[in-house]
Amino acid sequence: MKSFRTASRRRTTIGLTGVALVAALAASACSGSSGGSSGGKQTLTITGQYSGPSSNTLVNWWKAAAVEFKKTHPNVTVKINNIVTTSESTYYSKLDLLERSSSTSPNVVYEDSFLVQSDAAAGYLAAMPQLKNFSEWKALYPTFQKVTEYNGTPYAMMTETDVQQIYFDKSLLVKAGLPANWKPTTLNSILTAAEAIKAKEPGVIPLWVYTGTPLGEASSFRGFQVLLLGTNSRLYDQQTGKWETGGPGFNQVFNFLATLHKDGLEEPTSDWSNPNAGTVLNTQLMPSQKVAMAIDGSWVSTQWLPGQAKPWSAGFDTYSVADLPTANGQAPGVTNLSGGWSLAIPAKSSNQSLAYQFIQTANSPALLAKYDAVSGQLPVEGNVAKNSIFTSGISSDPLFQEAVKYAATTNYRPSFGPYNQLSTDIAAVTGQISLGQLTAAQAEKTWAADVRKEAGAGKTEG
Amino acid sequence: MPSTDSTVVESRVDSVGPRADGGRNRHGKSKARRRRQLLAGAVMLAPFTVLVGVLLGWPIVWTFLLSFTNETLTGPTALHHKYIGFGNFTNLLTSSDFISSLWHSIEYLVGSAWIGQVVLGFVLALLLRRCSRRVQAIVGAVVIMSWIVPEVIAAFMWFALLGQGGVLQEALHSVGIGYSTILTSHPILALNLANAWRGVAFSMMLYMAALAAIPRELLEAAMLDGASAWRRVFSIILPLIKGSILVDVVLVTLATLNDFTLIFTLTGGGPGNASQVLSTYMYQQGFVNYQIAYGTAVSVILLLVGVVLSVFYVRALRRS
Amino acid sequence: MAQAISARRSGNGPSAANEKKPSRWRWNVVALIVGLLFLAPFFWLILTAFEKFGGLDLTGGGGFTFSNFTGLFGKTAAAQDIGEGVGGALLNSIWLSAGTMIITTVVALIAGYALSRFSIPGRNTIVYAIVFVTGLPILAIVIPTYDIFVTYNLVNSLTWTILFLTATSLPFAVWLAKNFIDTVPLELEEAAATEGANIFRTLQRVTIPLVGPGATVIAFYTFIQAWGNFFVPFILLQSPKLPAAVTTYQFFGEHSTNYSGLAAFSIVFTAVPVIFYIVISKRNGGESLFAGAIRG
Repeated sequence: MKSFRTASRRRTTIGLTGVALVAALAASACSGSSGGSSGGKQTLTITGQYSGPSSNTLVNWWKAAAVEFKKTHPNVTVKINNIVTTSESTYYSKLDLLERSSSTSPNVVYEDSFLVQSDAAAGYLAAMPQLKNFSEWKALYPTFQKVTEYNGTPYAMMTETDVQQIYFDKSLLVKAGLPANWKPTTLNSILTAAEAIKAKEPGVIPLWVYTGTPLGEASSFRGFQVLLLGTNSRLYDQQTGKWETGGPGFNQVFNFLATLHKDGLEEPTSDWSNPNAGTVLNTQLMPSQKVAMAIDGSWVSTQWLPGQAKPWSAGFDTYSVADLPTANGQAPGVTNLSGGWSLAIPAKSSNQSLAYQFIQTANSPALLAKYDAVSGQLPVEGNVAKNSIFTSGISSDPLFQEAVKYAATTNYRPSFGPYNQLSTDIAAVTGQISLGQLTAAQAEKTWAADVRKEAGAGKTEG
Repeated sequence: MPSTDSTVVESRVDSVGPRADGGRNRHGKSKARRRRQLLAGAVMLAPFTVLVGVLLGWPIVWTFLLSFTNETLTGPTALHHKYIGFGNFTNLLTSSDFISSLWHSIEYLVGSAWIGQVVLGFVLALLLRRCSRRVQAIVGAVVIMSWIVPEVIAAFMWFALLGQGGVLQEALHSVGIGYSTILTSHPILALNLANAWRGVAFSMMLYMAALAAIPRELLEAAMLDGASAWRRVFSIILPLIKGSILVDVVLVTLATLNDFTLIFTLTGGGPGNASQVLSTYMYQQGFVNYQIAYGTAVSVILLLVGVVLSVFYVRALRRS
Repeated sequence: MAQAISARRSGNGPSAANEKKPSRWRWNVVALIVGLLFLAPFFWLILTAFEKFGGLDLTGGGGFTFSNFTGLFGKTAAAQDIGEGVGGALLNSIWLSAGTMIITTVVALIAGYALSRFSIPGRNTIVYAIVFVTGLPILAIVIPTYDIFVTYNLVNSLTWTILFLTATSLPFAVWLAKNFIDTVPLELEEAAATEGANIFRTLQRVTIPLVGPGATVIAFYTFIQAWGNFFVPFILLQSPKLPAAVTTYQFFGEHSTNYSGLAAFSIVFTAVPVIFYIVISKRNGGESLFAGAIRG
């Protein structure tokens, strides 16, 4: 019996030690993080996405802005606190979480344009009506003023954008009997070119389109929406405020995609279903000349510049670009869709006026010109586009130079309400078309059902 | 520290034997002793209870409650959400995407967990025990190294191996065998291979230990009686290690149902939804569509599936 | 005392004594082939880490180089901009994983001991509940956890992240611990006590050595789970406290991935738990980690 008493006392001691350990840890750890100011010095945190080496240009821009900012605000330290992830949705999840509380919220955030409206609706962002008096805001192309407006007030300042183009391999097209300065005028001319290439060069992908999940937004954006904008149908009717369940434009685009699949004109499933499809296209397939045409964003050629992960100097001679035509060649003849990024102020930022001043500094044309020139992003205003720093900076990339002018007249996505789910649905539908699981007619039906489900009763038409 | 050899207790197998529950009931219990034990037990369980209760239990409850709301990560219902009862669950159960994700999860479970780890682990254990010490050590180390590799790295190692233009394709092409990537044509098969590769070490080690505890005499007697290797395995070994097998099945099942990173990095749930399992579906709903309450509802279902399977385990164990 | 324990393991295969020596080599060959198959996925990793512009294929982008490795530890371009270099991230990983490992192992052993030795009411229910909880997808509770942490100002704290990781590792660890301790017969402790050994002697001579292998398994398992964990530190921490599992993504780009850098980083990242494993298996006398036996 004595053994048990000593034994259990021993166990009690161990147990109590354990409890004490945990308690001590808890006590010592109770000091949470607190930012802010101390003794006249202030900190301004800016948070963006770090999605690989190309994001260095972003950081350099903010560092340059911080240097300028120091001249007018000597007591402020600018702290760049990026979120490391290549997946945008993971970035937003973290960003939205940070924005929920004043103790974690940054002062300035880097927002993708298509999330500004829903973040504004959520109450995460501070309204910036003062932007309307800002010279650089007034210089923005009109599209980019509208993108970040919610209930008529701007909630973010657009800083950069991108457009879509058709990249084509000159020699591959010439071999198929097409001109080296090929200019498609309708969706059909793209199909005809693709058929010609397929006939003459069976080992080559005639046309690369982004389709299906897992790429999600990229497929929806570059593989569907930009084409839809060349028709008279829209995802969302601005006049009536309702989401479209279908229409002749949808019919045309779905048929275009179905033909691509049926005639074997697009890339094989193993390519488009690759979560790294963009990398594969830009740094593997294009340099080995396995792709004749590709609908992709304006940054593609900047991947080939020296200093990138896989530079390819011959790219600028091998490839050329063509505008995206409207579906039937009707006015305005070309179509485009843009994304882009902006700077915004979280509602729970500890110092909104300071944040606003930093945004103004960062948006000076000289700084933006330098940034856009090296980052493969397009300027959103004429001041920057014409700035000599920018034009000389992109002089080695003729393909990119072509893209600059589109920013002035491009479109943007209806990124509010059920947009996120609808975008995922579009990607799912295009993927099923590319797998041969849906015909164009079935795709239209599926899409109509999706829209009714996501948008809800009374919010749809057509 | 003495080597493990001399510290292994007398051989006994699983739940056979008088000391299945640690010999607690061998002495008579006085009330005082029981009270002392209770006190000691409570104190010793305290750190565990506090840590798990506060840091795990509370979030679980919160998550559970969340699945009954319509909270999103962005948009109007981000900071001001309301209670919608079972709405998420009814949407789930009528969603064809959810049903197919559930089915894929089961395929993944059977393929990569039950066959790829439980069965394969047992086979490997049998194999290695017939090898020389040195080969045991080498091959064992290789298998264990696959287990140690962090999941995301294992994922793109397999991507490089199986993918279009990857290692396997180049190897097969060089000997004239065509190969079009199974990541596209049979994504779940690819996932099963990768996950089995990654996880079999655990089962293998568990079975090696279980096999080592089988008394030599039993098997030698069977051999002398003329029993073939197959008979020995099925009639003697398997029944004796039944407990270990059940343990392995449950643990591997629970771990596999929750597996996320491997699938997400290797196929992203694609092509289309061909390899979308419940965990990637949950991620898509919660983090890509920003419908976190809905995503949480998916995870509640995941947990329920795990619980149901665990109940089967407990029942089976009680019977043995 | 240890000598009093009879060790009647079946050793290296039930038929070792009777099997003719020559036929073992067939099994050896089969096993070695299996081993080679298991090594296959590593080839790409090692080759690409030494390639200049590696890709997912093996076409050898730009020749052999060490620069991917040296580039990791200088100030990589990424290192300047995300707040922790590779070294810093690895240190964070070690801090997180080791912290989780130590606390989890200690708490699990204590709790496992109680569950194994004492007749606590509802003991079985507790054990079953523990098994169920291991089936929980942590991904699901990470955001609610963040909400809770934010309310009490606990975010971006390495210590609290360690505690959370501990809480999620504990169910499985306790279950392992209970099973290990179940295999240690009570008689040994009682025998030591009746022989007059005091508490600490008993602990030192009997309990700890017997529980040692089990503790090692729990510790190692917890360590590598924490080492590879992405979501928890991603959500609960910010730069510069991020561990290597999160900063791995600095090599993935949206339009172009630096595969060579990624491969080099992965090798370094994987090396730490591998070295850890080698160290503990050497101390175990080269035996498999699980030689302490897990019972049902």
